[in-house]
Amino acid sequence: MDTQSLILALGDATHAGRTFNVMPVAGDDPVLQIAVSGADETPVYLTVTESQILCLVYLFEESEIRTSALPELHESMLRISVPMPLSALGKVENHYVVYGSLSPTSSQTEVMQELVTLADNAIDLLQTFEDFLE
Amino acid sequence: MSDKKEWSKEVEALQAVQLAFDLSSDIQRAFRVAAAMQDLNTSSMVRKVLNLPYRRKRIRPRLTVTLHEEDFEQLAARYQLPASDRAAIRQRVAEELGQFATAFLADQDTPGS
Repeated sequence: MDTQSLILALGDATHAGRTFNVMPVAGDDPVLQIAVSGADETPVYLTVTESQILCLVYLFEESEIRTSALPELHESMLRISVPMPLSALGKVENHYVVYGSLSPTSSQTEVMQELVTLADNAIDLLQTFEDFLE
Repeated sequence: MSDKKEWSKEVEALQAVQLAFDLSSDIQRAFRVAAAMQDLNTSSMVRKVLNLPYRRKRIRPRLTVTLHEEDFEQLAARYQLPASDRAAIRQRVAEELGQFATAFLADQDTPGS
């Protein structure tokens, strides 16, 4: 599975009634920005390496968090991360993210399942963590 | 973590995603600003750039703010007015928004800004 074949596959695909709007992002390494219908506000960034297909949604920046709420937010993130289906929480530079990774040999259906779940999880998380933000 | 040799490709991939996100954010911001300056909505701006048909004007462009009870209380404290004097608070809100617009437009007209 590579980004080029995903552009073609996802463009016409439907999964659990959801469709995918795929936009390649200009750059040296291929990265796709994928908006899942019904969760357009949490676009998924996807890239493929030799060892994984990495799917990632940006949630908020460090500067958006109320300083006094930071320890409680981190505790909450660690606890939520385990039961959350197919996704985990993490940090990239100063951005908090939710991500999921799949084997590069995953099927198209598995990738679509990950994208839909991840985009929906991101919306749920933004609501869950709303009180921790400025 | 980034020192772990066999993960270096994954770290590079993560950096590529970060670059893509920053670029997307910049592009989105540019389109929002360009659309606002041309009285278009963002999707019309995108269609315009792509030479596709688009709606010329935003539908009923307007500036409104819905003030809730707690907003009135916060504004009353800042304006040093009684929270019950909503007409006066609204008057001060209108003045403050006007001042912002005047300052903003003057700033935009400044050469090199």
